[in-house]
Amino acid sequence: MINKTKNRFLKYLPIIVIAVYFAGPIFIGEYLTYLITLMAIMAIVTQGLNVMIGYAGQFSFGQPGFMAFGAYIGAIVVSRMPWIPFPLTILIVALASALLGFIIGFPCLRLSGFYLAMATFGFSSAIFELINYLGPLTGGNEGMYAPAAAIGKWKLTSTDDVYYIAAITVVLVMIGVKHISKTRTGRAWNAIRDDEIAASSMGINLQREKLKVFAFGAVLAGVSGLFYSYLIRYIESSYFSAMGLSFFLIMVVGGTGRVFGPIYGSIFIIMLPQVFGGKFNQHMNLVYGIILVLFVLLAPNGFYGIWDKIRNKSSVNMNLRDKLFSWIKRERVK
Amino acid sequence: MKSPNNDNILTLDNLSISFGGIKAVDGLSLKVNENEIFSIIGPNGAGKTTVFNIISGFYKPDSGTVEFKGRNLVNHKPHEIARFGVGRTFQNLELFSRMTVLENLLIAKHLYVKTRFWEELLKTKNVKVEEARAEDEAYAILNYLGLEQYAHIPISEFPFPIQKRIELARALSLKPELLILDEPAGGLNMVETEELSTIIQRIRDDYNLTVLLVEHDMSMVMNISDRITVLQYGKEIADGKPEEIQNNPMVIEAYLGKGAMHA
Amino acid sequence: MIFSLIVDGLAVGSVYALVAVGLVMLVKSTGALNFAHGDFMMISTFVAYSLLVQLELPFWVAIVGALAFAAVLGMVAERLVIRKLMTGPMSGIIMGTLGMAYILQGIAKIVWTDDIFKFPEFFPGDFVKIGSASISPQSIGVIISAIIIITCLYLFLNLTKVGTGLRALTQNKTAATLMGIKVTKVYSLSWALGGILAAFAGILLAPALYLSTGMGGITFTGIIAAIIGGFGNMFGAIIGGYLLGILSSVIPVYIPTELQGIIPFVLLMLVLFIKPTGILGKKMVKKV
Repeated sequence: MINKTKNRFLKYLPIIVIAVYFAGPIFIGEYLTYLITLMAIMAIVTQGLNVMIGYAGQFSFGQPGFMAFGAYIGAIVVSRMPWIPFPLTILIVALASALLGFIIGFPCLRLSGFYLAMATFGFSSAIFELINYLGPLTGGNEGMYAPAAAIGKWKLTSTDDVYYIAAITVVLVMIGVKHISKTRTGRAWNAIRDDEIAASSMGINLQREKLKVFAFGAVLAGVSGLFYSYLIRYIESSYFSAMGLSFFLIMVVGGTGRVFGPIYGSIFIIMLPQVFGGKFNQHMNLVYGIILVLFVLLAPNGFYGIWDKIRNKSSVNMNLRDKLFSWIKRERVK
Repeated sequence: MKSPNNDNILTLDNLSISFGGIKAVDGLSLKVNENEIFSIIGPNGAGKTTVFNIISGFYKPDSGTVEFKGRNLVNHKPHEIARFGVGRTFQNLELFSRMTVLENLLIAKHLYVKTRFWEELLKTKNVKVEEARAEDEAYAILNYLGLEQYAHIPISEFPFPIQKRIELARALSLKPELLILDEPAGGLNMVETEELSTIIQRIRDDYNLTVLLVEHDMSMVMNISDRITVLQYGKEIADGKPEEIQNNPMVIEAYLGKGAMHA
Repeated sequence: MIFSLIVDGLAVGSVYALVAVGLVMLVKSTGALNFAHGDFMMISTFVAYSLLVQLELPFWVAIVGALAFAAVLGMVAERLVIRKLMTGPMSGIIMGTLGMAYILQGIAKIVWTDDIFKFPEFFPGDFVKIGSASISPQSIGVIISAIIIITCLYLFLNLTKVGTGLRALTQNKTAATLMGIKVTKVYSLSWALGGILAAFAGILLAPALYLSTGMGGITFTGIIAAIIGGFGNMFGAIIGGYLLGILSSVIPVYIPTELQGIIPFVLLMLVLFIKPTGILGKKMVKKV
């Protein structure tokens, strides 16, 4: 009986969480809205990384580059054609990022392990170098203004507006990845991660699936880059290149290869400096480094892994208790 | 038991490959008829597994052709060869050991689940239908091999003999016309090996496929093979029916060394 | 003009070669690509700087002190972080060493601040004239020092017992264990050696460049040099290092300054996509 109500509650829990999530900006101040929007943006890009590394085993240093690409393409296109409604901008950025993902993914197909990691790092760095080089288009080192999201005359300039765009997207992305993970493509990616030889002898086209996952990761990074430009309205390539560590941290802390890991990870990463503040920010990278090493060493499956451990422990205790009870009962019967 | 008919399903012609100057396979030619159980035997290092790896596209031969149902498999990638209808198992097991038995079989359904990426993202009705169908088919094979109770257990928790059978089930999920088995009885005891012999024959008949076998267990090979080819140092030294092979002096010499005949 | 550029390139290349050799040795012995290698270098060089300039210790004492520090740092990193990650997935090693890199940078920022420091030159003197080219004594000193260090490394690996053990381990782990080599001891040793090589590279690089906490970025240049030379081959790493040094010294003459940063990556891409096994790499046969 209790179990039933508990199950029903659990069933509706996500809906309640999502409802509260969307009603959020009405009740919280602008700063908190800004932070939560940032969390959503970080969760989207890290989900791309999570799918690449955690699901498909394709290591990537490329996410900051893809993210910058998305932000700059959006800004460059919309500043020249301001009439483009923002859903179309999102689509353009997604397509352009996917294309870039294919272009970069293609030469990477033959590579794996450290080689792949270095190739993606090389591409990412090349994107930053190009952004700085193409000054007339991108403002070079100085950066450029990013136009706000807009439909017709309706400009979505406030943080609340970006909040909703990012909130809807992050929910869709999580649901989409959840679906993928349980169906054909997700299985194929897992297969490639675990054993390429077996995967290919099961009829899985390694190259096609790797390209797909590269493009998927690129799209999520590109779109989140666009949202980031909506949020901060002024972009410099260094903003993005400085983010690389955060993505790994979010992924590892949340739980690599777990669908909702990036959400927990980005809540952790965004809230950490808020809780400690001031002095902490000066040494943020040091703290991040320590957390990353500690998690990789002690809790490689992140919060998810810790949670699983706690749950298993309590279930072991439960078994002990059950055994004890049954033993007492037996004694009584005697 | 059906009698093998005489259409070639697989023809190897003058196949050669060498690694670092050593000829692993040297001018091998053989014809496998449809629906037969064909074994390749030979001492360790004779190049048997290499032949399998050439057929399934992992190695590119230096020369020669592999013709499967009239199509040359050389220069095709492993996944294409799987699509053409060649399924295989591996000597040292290549299961996805972190995944469950059912997931392993579903991966082998990759070619038969007809869904598009965007459909999967949205989990459309088509996805649900296709996934359910694939799962039914996977369960059918698990049932057939008596593995259905294991469906949701991760591979790593099984002992070796059961893993071997799971890999066989996975290869069958590909719906192959040619099933390549690399030492399926390796690590099995006598009872398990005998059981496996029956299973292989049953699979051949029930699924109407051709079996190509590499195996060290001679009693099993002699028992179930329709024809046998013997390899030594990458070269064919004999071929024929099991009873012919058993009495071939060259084979006995290759296996037992010179002078064994006179002992 | 070109000649003096090439000599400058050889000097920078010597440093790249030292970094790359260290990286490759660690990959071969413990299977770990050390993304903190450049930060090992950075922090050891800062230690040398403090001993030399702030504590005003004699030159040789400062060098030996920094090398000892680097060796201990390498051993500690191996024992605390690498040994546990070695057996796991590659992404764990990348993230573990990347985390170490940020920790070392953070520590260096606390101890030495974000400023840049001038590291004293230890090959002073006038420019040497060879024909029309003039070459700085620093460059010549760096090149000769690197050659001596690499020769010593070669002799150490080939003539001493521990060195032979390390080489055996890099070639065949199982066989090395069977031969009675204490594997964990060799892991420790290789990381100590890796640290020392990094420290040497830093001390040679610092006078030419300013000393700052951002120096660690050389890790990526070192990895690129190692890949160009063919990973898994220390000799290749040396060649890769010198080649990268010369090319990144000569090519900028012919292209816009803004694009100079891109050179190593373009070279990396060229090697990865034309011959991923590098110049000296052997073709890998995958086992099924």
